[in-house]
Parts: sequence; C-alpha cells; structure tokens
Amino acid sequence: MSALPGRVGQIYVVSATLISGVVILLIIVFLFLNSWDAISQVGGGLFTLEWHPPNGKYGILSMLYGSVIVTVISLVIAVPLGIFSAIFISEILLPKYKPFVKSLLEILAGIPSIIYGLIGIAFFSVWVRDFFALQSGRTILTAGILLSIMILPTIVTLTDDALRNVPVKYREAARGLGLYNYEVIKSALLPIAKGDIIGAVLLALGRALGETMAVMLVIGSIDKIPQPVFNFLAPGQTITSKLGREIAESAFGSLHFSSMIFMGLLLLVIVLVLTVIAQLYFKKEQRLYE
Amino acid sequence: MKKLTDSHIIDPAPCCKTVPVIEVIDYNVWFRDYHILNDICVSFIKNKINCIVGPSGSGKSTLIRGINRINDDAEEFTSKGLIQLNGQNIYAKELDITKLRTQIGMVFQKPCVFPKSIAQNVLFGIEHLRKLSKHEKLQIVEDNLKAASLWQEVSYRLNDKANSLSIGQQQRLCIARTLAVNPEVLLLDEPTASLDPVSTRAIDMLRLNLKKEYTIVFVTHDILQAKRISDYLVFMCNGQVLEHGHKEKLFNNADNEQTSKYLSDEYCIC
Amino acid sequence: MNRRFINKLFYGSSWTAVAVCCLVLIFLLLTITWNGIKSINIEFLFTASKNFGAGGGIFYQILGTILLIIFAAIISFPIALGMAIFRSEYLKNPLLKKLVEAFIYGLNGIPSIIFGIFGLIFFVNVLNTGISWFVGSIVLGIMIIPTITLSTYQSINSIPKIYRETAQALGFNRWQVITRVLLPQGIGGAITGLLLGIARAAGETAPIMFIATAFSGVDVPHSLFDPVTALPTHILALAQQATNKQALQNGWGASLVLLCIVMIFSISGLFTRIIFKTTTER
Repeated sequence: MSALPGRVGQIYVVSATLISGVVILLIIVFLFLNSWDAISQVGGGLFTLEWHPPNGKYGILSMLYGSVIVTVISLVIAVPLGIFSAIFISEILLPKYKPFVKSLLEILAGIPSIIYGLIGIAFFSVWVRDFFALQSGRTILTAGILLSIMILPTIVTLTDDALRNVPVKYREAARGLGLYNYEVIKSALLPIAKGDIIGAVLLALGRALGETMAVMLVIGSIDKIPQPVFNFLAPGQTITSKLGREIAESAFGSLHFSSMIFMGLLLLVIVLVLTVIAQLYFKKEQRLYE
Repeated sequence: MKKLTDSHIIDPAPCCKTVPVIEVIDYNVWFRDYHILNDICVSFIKNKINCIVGPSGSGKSTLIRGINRINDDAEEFTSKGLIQLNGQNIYAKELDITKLRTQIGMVFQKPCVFPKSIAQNVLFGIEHLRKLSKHEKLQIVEDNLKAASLWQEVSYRLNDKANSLSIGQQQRLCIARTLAVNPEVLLLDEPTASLDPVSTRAIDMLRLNLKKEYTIVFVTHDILQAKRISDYLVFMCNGQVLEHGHKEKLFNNADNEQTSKYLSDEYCIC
Repeated sequence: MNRRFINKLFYGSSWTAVAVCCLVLIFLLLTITWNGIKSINIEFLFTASKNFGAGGGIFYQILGTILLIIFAAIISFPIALGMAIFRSEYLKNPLLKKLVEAFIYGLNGIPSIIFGIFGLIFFVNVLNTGISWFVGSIVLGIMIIPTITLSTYQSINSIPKIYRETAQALGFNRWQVITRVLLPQGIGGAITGLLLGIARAAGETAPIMFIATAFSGVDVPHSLFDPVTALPTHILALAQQATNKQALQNGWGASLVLLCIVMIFSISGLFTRIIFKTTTER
C-alpha cells in the first residue's frame, strides 16, 4: 500500500484549486494592464459624458448611467414580483406541486440570454414602440423590462430557499398566537429570512449588471444620457452593450481599446464586490446554479 | 516521559498471566480549551475484555477514540501524552496511521454499512490491500461472518444489499468487516447502545468468543453488560480514571468509594 | 376587519405575482416554439448556412456548439472535481476555506462578457492563438467550473462523517477514503453539476463571440486553432438582421434548436439530481 496515490491525489486537488485562483488573478491583472493606458492618459476624462473616440473623447459616464438605470428598472419590477411569487411558492402552494414549480423555474433560468434578446427585438421593443407611440422600441425601458424577466428566476429561487430555511416552529408559534398568514410572514418569517433575501437581491443585481446579449439588442446603443434624465423611453447604452458592440472594432492596444477595457474592469470590480457582499448576507451555504 | 511502574499493572488474576497490549501513559486531550482527559494512565490486557465505564461526559469515547487516533482529523482536538501498542508509541511522528488502524480495529455506536452487498461490505477493508482470488474472497467472507455470528442468517443471500439487514445484523456485519482486516485489538464504542436487548445479547456472546483471539476494549453505559462480560474494568469520571482493575475487585471490593457507588447505583458525583 | 382585508389583499397580490410569472414563462416558451417550429425541417438542420444566415440551414452551427461544449466539459470537469474534493476534505483552516469560497463565488459571478474580453486579450492577442474554437472551449470551461464544483461539493459534503470514520478505522488513508467511499457516493452531484454546466455553456454568446466564432465561411475546423461557428452567435447575427424576414425566421429556428439542446441538458441535470438524491437517502 504505497503512499504514492495519496500524494498524487493531494497534488491534483491542490493544483485544481490553484488554477481557479490563478485564473481570477489573471483576469483582473490583464484587464488592469490593458486599461492602464486609459487610466494614465485619459485619467479623469474617463468620467465625462462624451464618448467619441475619433475626437479623443472617452467619457464613460453615459454607459455607467445606462447600466445602473437599466438594472434599477429591472430590480423595481423583478424584486416585488419575485418576492411575492416566492412567498406564494413557499407558503401558499400545496407541497405536492412544489417540485414541479421549482423545476419549471430552473428551466426558465436556463433560457439562453441571446434568445431573450431575439424575443426582445421581435416583441418587447415592438410593444413598447406601439404602446408609447415612439419612433423605435429600442429604449432603456425595454431593456429594463427584458432584464427583469431574466433575473426573476434567481430572485424567486433564492427567496424561496431563504423562506424554507426558516424553521417550522416560528410559523407554528405565530399562528398559534392567532396571526393571519400575512402577519405571520411579515412579522415572523421575513425578519429571519431578511439576510438571505438581501443576498438574493444583490446577486440578482450583479447578474443584471453583467448581462450583455439581451440588453445589447434592445437598448438602442446611443452613447448619451437621455434628456431629461428620467426619460426611459429614449435609447441609451450600458457598459456591457458597449463592450459587446465595439470591442471587436477597436484596435488592440489603442487608447480606444484601453478605455473600453477600463469600463470592463469597472464592471468586474463592481460585480465582484456585490458578490462578496451578497455572500456575507447569506447565513447558510446556499446552492447557486446560475 | 514516565515509564510504566508496577502501580499501572493490574493485579493479576490468580491463574493467568496478564500482558498489557495497550498502555496509556499521562494522556491528555483538549477540545478547544476544555480539558477533556486529564493525565490518563491505564493499560488494557491482551486477550481479555477490557471495559471502560463511567457517566456521560466522562471522556470514555474520547479515550477509546484516541487509541486508534480517529480523533486526529476532528478539528479542535489536541492531545499530549503517550499511548503504546506492544511497546511502540502510536503517536510517534514516523508512524503510519493507516497501518495502525489495521492493527487496531474500531466498531462505532451506530452501524455504518456501505451501500453495497453484504459480501462486499465484509471485503471492503481488505480488497485494496492485495489481489484476492475468488476462492479467497469467499473464504474470508465466510470466516468473518461466522466469527461475527452472522453467517447462519445471511449465508444464502450474500449478494443482497447490506442495508436490508436489521440494525442488530448490520452491527454484526460491521464487526465482521472489522475482523476481516485482522487486527490485534478490537475497540468498540458503545456498540450495543442503539440495539434492542436480543441483538445486544447476541453481540455480548460474540465478544466472549472473540476474546480468545483478539484483545477487546469497549465502552459502555450499561453496568449490567459490564458485569456480564468484562474481565477488566476501568472506571472514569470527569476526564480522569478513578480506578481500574479486575472486575470482581471493582464490583465487590473497590478501593474508591465513588467506584462502588457508581457500579451499584449508577450514581456518580465527581 | 381591516386585518382580514389586508390579508386578502396579500393573497391577491401573491396570486397575481405568480400568475404574471407563469404567463411570462408560457409566453416565452410558446413564442420560441411557435415561431421556431416553422423553420424546423431536415433541410434546415442539416445544411450549411448561406448569406450570413439569411438562407440555408444551421448544420455547422449545431456541430460547432456541440464541439465547444464537449471540450468545455472535458476541460472543466477534472478541475471542478478537484476543487470540490479539496474544499470538502482537505481544507481545515477557516481563513483558507473563506478564500476558496471566494474563488468559487467570484468566478461564478464574473459576467460572461468579461470572460469574452479576457479571452480576447489573453489568448487571441497575448498568446496569439487567433480565433480558435479550442480557446473558446477553454473559456467556456472556466466559466462553468463553479457550477460543477458547487454541486459536487454539496453532495460530497453531505455524506455523514461516520462514513469517513468507518473507512479510516479500517485503515484507509485520506485519498482512499475519497476514492472508495466519498466519490462513489458523491458522484451524483458531480454529474448533475456537469449537466447543468453544459446547459449553461451551450447557451452563452459573449464568451465565444470574440474568440472562437466567425460568422461566415466556416464549417468544420481542421485544427485546434481554427474558428468555428455556433448557434448562439449565429442567432446574434440573425437578430441583427431582424428586418430581413427570412433571417428572422431562421433566427427563430436556430433559437428553438438551441433551446432544445439546453433543455436536454438542464432536464437531465434535474433528473440526475432527483435520482441520486433518492438513492443516498436510503
């Protein structure tokens, strides 16, 4: 019984883990290296409004605004919808239907984002255009709505998990005191599940910020903050959409390229920070298949 | 490092020589900051049934689990001291733990059969050690199931899943599996605690037969069981060994007042 | 009285929310199926595309997707498995545990476009591989590592401690405990994770659109460093020609095919999760 297999096994598992760590490091490093040009040469100019590479203007604020607004819209729609749906699934739905419904949710979560994009072009933008009598249905609002559908399964699944993690005894105690169902949920369950739910929302936020394909096709790709600022029926631009559209067209190594990489780096940092914070909110180990 | 002095050797029974096969010297264990075992000094005698008794929380399980070092991987346990198997320090750095565990086998409180057939369970501990012919495998399965008093009941269905057996049978299967590795010493941590009286009886009889070939060390809560089948007794309380010796002595003529109190009333304030 | 009313309101809102979600789901699936089915015929599935997809079929796109996901699976599985085993069996230090957890969840949260850009910088430019399907597989593989790791880890970690101790007491060293006791029982989680990971990889566009695919003139790659064409990127190209009716129609067809491929793996994954759960609970 030699110790060799054990040794080899140990080397294998350690290297496997190191590879992942190295990859993350590489991603951050290379993104940083390639945005250095932009940071050093354009500097504060990156945080201006005008993006026009031929003139040497590399302001990313419009894209940042777009990303944030589209995400906010999607959360405004998806969070209430998702939490109420999760409450329904967790507390009201008969247990025998649960596996069926949860599987359905997982299937919904699995629809590729490009297909959402196609549906967005073919239907949502047409509806928005007709409903609001616009020139084109490719607006910030359209992107927000589409995005909300995409992050809905995440919120529902994780909130349902959060509610399920609350032990039965709290429900029984509250009901035993004569509380109505909604009071049970509001006073007994939600406070306990609050941490996990916040974590779920943060994760959904991260996903929404990082979504590219669907947003790219329906947002209109205009690199300006709309006038007035809250006109969501105007086209706009997000970081991801910009990257998706232009990165292939910009020359590697140019300032144009570098500024775009800077945008990507910014996005990456924001999303990673959100992910880390979300993990702090989760009390127990959660399953994350997305 | 204190050497074993005469005071650690148990008074020999009038007719037989006693050989200590395991010697525990100044053994201490901490769980986080709690001092669980305090300067334990005791020996376990070859080919006898050595029984460790004591109230809950006295450290019996911790002691027995220290003998095959199964607590090593448990977090937050630290230990200091000496345990010797046939004169060799089992806590020595150079020692091959996996080899140790083939010399000292362990049966746990809850039977844990692998999701395989009965025969495969028996062979589980040894088939990776060397290549066995089909004939050898059958022989090993039969011998060890017989030694564990299970052969009669399962000989015709060796390929059935092990978890189709009753709990008492599963525990005997675990014993057979441990015996198949051919250890010198058999450690049993409250092996009949989860079982009904009939299965308990069967395993008691089993142990009486096994002691001819193996040294048995077991932990129990059940004073009557200890009285029935043990040869030597170790009485622990609050992480210390209060008394140890021949069964007759401890039950009838204990040196320590608390020992006789516990063994008669099961009451111990220590 | 007021409380009762609010309670009713609450029920109403929950039902409404669920109804909306169901409607959305039904709408999505129906749309894709209804529009896509018109395109599905043998010719569509088995001929090459023409006119940037506005004509012809999607045969090479299907092949491309399958090629990419097979190799992504091959590349990612060993790494993910190793990581899950490491985290479950080797890590004791709480700080290191947090660190590895950070690796997994960090990798999981990175947007897919960032993977695409990283691939563009690191492989296509720095390593000068050019547009290569193999590089695409590598990037996709890296992307799905967390999915597989998390699922595997869950199933290995939930094996009760007693199994490990029993095996150790029989004289198994750590690696033997892993290979002879934990992996056979925990393999279900690994397979589930792999299937779900493949489902995810099949549908991704952003990671591969810069580094692995080209839109025209591509059929079967002849070497590791040739580009390939795949369904998601093809759909993207078609979506951008949405005014062309034929292109749009082909887009629906390709979407339906892609959705079917993704669903096959997703459902298999869910299926294996159920199967393996019931056997370990015996």
